[in-house]
Amino acid sequence: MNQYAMVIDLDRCVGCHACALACRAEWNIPVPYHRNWVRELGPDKTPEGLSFTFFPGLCNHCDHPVCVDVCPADPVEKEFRDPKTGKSMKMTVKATFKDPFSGIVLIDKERCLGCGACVEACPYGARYLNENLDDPKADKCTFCVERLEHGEVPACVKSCIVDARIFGNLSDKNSEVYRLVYKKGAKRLTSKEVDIGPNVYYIGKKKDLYLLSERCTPHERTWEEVRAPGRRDLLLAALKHVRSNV
Amino acid sequence: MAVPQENPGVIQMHKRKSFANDPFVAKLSHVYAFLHTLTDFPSDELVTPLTRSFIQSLLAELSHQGLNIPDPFILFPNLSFSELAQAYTGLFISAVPRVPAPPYASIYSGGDSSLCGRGLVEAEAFYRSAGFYPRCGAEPPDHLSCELAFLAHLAAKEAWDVKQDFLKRHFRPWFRVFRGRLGRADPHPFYSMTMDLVNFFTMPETQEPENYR
Amino acid sequence: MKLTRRHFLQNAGIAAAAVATWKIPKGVMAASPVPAGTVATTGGLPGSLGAKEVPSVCEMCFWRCPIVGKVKDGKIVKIEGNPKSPTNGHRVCARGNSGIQLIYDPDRLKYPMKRVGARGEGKWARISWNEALDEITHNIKKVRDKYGPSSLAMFDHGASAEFYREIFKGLGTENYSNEPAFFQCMGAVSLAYLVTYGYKIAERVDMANAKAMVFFGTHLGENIHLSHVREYIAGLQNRAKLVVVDPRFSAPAGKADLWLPIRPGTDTALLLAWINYVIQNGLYDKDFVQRNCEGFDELKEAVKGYSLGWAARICDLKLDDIRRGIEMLAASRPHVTVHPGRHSAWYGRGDVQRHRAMAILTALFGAVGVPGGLYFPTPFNLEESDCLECEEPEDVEEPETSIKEKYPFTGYFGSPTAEIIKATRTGEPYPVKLWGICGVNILQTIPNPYETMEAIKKLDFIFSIEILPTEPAIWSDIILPEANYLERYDRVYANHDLTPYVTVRQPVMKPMFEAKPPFWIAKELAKRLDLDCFTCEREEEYLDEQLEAMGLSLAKLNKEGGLVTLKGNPYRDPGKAIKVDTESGKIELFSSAFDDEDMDPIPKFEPTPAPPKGYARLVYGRVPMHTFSRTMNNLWLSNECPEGKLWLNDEVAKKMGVKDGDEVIIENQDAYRSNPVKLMVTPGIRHDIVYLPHGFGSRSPLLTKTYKHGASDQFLITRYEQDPFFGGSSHRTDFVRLIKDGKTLDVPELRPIPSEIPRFEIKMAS
Repeated sequence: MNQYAMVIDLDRCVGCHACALACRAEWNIPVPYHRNWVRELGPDKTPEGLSFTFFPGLCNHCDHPVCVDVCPADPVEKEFRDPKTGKSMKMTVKATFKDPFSGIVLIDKERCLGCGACVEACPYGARYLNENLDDPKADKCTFCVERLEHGEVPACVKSCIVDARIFGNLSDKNSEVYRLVYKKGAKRLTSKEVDIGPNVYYIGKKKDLYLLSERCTPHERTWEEVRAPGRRDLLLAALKHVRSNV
Repeated sequence: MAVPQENPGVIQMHKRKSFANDPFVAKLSHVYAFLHTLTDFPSDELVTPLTRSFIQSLLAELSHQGLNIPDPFILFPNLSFSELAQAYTGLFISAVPRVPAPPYASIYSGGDSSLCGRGLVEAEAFYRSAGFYPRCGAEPPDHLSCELAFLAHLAAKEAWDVKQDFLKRHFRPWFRVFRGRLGRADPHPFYSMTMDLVNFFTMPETQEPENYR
Repeated sequence: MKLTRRHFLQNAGIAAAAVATWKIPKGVMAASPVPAGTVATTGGLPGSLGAKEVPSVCEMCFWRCPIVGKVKDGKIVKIEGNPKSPTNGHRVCARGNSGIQLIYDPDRLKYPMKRVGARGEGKWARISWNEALDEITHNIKKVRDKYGPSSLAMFDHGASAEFYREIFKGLGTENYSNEPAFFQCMGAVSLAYLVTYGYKIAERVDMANAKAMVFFGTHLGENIHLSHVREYIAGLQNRAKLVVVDPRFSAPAGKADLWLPIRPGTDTALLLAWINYVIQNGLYDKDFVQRNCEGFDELKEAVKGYSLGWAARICDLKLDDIRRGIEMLAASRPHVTVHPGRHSAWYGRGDVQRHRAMAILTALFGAVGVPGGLYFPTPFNLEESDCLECEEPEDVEEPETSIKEKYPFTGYFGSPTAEIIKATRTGEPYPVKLWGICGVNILQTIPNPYETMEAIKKLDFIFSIEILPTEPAIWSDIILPEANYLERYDRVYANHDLTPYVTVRQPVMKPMFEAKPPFWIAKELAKRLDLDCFTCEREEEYLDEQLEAMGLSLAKLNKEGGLVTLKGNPYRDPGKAIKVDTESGKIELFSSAFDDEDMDPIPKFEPTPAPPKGYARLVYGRVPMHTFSRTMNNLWLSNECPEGKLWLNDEVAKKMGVKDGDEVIIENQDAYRSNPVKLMVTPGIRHDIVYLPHGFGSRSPLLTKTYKHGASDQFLITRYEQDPFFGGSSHRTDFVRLIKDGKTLDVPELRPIPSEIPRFEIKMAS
């Protein structure tokens, strides 16, 4: 199956935040929420020297998305279609799921309960609950799937002023992302505690990857709290109660 | 009882008895028109003795019927045009460091608090299906005075369903937040009066013309 | 029971009757057709896809990247780069993306306004355009008739200011331009390179093809001039070596091969030692120098005393590092970028010579007109439109003493800003009594804002043409709301870089509220002032005129997607000598222009005073998500970066007992204090400086309801020196210490100051 992925080149990245704002503009993400963010790291000492680098972050569309696991919505059958081959398959999914043909993790806004469980579960903090809406919904980066369907690249990739974002299909051996990940050793932000297969990778100088890894790798298994069964049932019950009183 | 609307702004006009002789209709339309003028940038007309006495009698009547709105002319007996112009400018047009309560639906209707946002789109959908697009000088049409002009039109045309829908789904949610923010900015009493009046005449109430079912 | 409107109206007596007579305003109630373009395209493409694209030019900063504005349902939804642009293509930076929040900023100026209350209170009342224009022109005439034309001064910057500058020129004042772009920014580098190379180099360095680059304080990446950031990154990707000379570990230092954390104020010492080293070791392009340069022997003699060891001591750098740096650069000649810098108004005295030294080093490497070096602009012809020019009046009364008199080289740029402010405050050499402002934040841009505020109080009249309610609007008597760059035409833009192009700014949207484009405003001013300019009916007329010489018109340009490229000719013919427009016809290592005015024809090291004991130098710079103070109100940009932090060296912080994240107040040598600001403690900065990103912090101190988002560097720049060449003001000659929890903390001095460098002495207040 395909897996879309992104590689961010810290040698090129200048931390200008164009990506974060192109995303905001494209999808009307209200302040203060972010689908795409940039953090400045350093200047700080590393074993490889002084580093001043950046953490452009977004949803990692993980191999094993824990956000999908914790969604309390009732599962329903959904049909998925591969736009390239026309193949289709049915899957039982909740309100958030990983598309089997693209590897992109998506949210069905119609079915989302707005409970915020997935927001809490994500160890990368990539999701948010849009409380500006009358009916709050979870939201996050979609790898611009809607644009991909029209043959366009993601908005952040398009706007990057130094072409630091490389986007493509990891299953395509001829793709640049494949080369960077499998031949050039691009790094993902994983730790012993959090190892769920993020599909956003980083390349750059050793000192910059060191600082990035030290500061931005998640270590908390945040989804385990959310999964606790008693809590989940409480959440669902509370939601039902709130909805019935509107 | 208002018919639930699925498509914003699509008028569901019900055939009913004409209200041409119902004084309520005409008066309400004129009230909204008056409120439109009050919420627009002031003109010289607003501070004439005639207008002043009208406002005062309106406030007196309201008070007599149980609603107390402070009379700004008591605090400012010699209220001048330039004073009003300054107050209006500082509250709704330009101020430092920011306009305390920009009077546009877009600012309060979710999303970013910028102009020409969701609130404008909503308002325009209503205008389109009503076939009436209020013009308010150089202001975008989700300006408070513009929406009041629309309400005046709806009242004059007896489009009660649309009016209820517009008020409930669009106007009231943002106006409530706007009025709260304005209150915190310590506005000139003339404009707190104005918003109290707008609030009263747009408040949700189940009683529309009696004959309507 | 709660009173309802129905009940009220049914029972209201006199009041209700009166209500019924209230007329509904005609224009409002007429059934009007739905305006075109507002119809929602339901079932449209997602996001910004399917939008109408209008080519234009950005002005969120002054780089003017070509863009397309994307319009859907009557609203501009996205801004992207113009794919036809050879410099940025479809890309725009953070500011470019955020233009949408400028046009839809609820705080944008909407109507002409007049001041109510005292200057600086920030209270206004809306007025009509006629009233505003009449008031402005009436006062211009009054002041001109009373004090003479030079009592009128224009503070100008940006695209629209070019229109109003002409108006002031037409009024006969010598003060029609005091562009802070020169006097507070680029003046030193522009002058230095102009007298050396005979043309305006405008930072044209071919970084993408360089084999080595050196930056003196240049912090590309934090400073975003999009094409230059792309070029420098391309150079690095092509394995160019990078040397960064900066007291702070800047963003490019993070990508550099060598960081030289130089003592502030000693860059010229380093350059002169490097020049000497290059000459002594034959590391220069002999052929190029012999064929194209004048004054080599004088240069060799003048610099012979500057050794690397001496520079190491003066600059507080390691000798090995200094040598490594120059060897790295020399080995790559002639494909070396010595970045000339842009914002060069550092210390006043010595700024011009610092850039002269850079220009000289560049020439020694032969890095002129070659890939990787300084490249030549490709000239091409744009017609000038008469419509856009106001003639200087013929018998204009010249002031007895010109305001530029002290400075031999001011003439290139206009009147020095500091002199105009001084003349306003003191009446010397003559009174300046009226200011017009466009695109200059007079308080957040110019040193000693307290002096500026004093000066403003003495003016008979002050007006501004503005987009947002910033300081100029706060201090003006009349404010005119200008259409922003997405809502107007400006001039044709000609880019003379590696791949030259021509493009035009054109309106993506109609101006909102009563904002007007600069051409209209200039036209209305000219009419009332009886000036024979801006006589075209519409902007399209002069745009077509400007484009005619190139066989283009606005329509033709738009057929090409709004931008047409031309063939560039940036490099020289390696076999031939180059033609240089200087007195000698050659590149002047020895500057005859300076010699003629009794200024040093070859740079000398002139130390700028070091901080007094207990103080550090205040240094500032850029952040990539803001453009000076202009974007601080932008919702999206201020959300990305709401406040700047104060950088402080980690060893110094430890000795002072402060830590990362602590809130402090900054106090300068004149006892002015900043708003509270958070500390960023880092090893990436010298011990003797603190660093603030520019543009944050308070508005006028008169206002109590200011943002408390960080400190303003500008309000701490109260002491400045003027450059003797053209009168520009210094910005890095203020010294500060910190206050935490009410206690004043001295900044410890970790390393000694060499005897050659004097210390600044704080004058005790009398």
